[in-house]
Amino acid sequence: MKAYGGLVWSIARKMLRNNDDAEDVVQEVFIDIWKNAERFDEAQSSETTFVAMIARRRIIDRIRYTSRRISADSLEDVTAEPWTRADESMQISVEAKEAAAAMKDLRPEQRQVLHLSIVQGLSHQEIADATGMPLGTVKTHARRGILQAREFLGLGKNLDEKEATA
Amino acid sequence: MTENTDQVLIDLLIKQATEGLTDVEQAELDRLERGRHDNTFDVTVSAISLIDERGEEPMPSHLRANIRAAAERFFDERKRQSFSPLGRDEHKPLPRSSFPNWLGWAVAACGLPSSCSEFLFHTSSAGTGFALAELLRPRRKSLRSQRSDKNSWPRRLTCSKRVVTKGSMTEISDVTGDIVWSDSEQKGM
Repeated sequence: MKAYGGLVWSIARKMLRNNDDAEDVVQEVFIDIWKNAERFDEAQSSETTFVAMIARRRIIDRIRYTSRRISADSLEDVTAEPWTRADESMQISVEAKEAAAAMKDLRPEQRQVLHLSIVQGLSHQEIADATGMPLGTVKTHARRGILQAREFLGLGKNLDEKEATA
Repeated sequence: MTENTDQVLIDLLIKQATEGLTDVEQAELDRLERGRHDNTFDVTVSAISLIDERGEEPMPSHLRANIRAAAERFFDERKRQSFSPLGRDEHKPLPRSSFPNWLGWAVAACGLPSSCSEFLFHTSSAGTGFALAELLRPRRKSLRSQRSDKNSWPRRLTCSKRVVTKGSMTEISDVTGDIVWSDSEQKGM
């Protein structure tokens, strides 16, 4: 909790915005982390990413359950400065650094869609409504951006290997 | 799996990682994955979410206290369960040990030292470079090296498929007869 308390709280606050919801979900996240600690695979992700993954799953469940979503702060800010701090001395996770490097190769619209989807927690339909992009375009941007980042993280071969064995 | 199914699978995995799935979508994903589980999209999305994340906002002190209390309860419960083989039903009397049961344990205890010495003797005298200390030493690899190991599995597996049979290796194709080991005939190292 000492190492990841701030991280989990920050993710919950960002995705939920409502303090009561965030407090509830953070407690659930820590219980999930304790229960799933044995599943942590050092070969697949760092500890930080593992914790973030559990936190996101729990928060997404909560969002789906309550059917409440946050609204984007300012679409202009998102477009203008997507993850600029990642270029500085960001030490939080090796995968995050690699993902940041992958983001540089993306088109601005793709970065915007990923930010709204992953950081702001908007659904593809909400992104389409907010940006005026057709839903299909939003999905394409999200898909290409995530696939590219996944390849960059060295995780992209898993599905292909599964295909070969299927 | 067709290309179209592959696209659907990827779309479902991305949706699962970004906004969650409905029950119908989850059932479809389970069907397409057929028991396998791909969390690479979850890892990717989590990594992207961490790009700008520093956890700068401290957790409220009352929430921290609540989680600390929950942790104590959780780990106390787990400790109790691990100490008690009967789990929650701690008051259930343990079965009495019978003489054959006791005898079995005694024989096993007597055999343990000889098994250990035999194991150590074989591993050290065989000259294979295998040491007990090496076996017990935890080996930690970096994330990067473990990933590259993982990626090289298919190639290693392909290499291991080469089976040495009579006539399959040109260098020894003309060798006939049986191989007999003889200490007296051995030369060199």
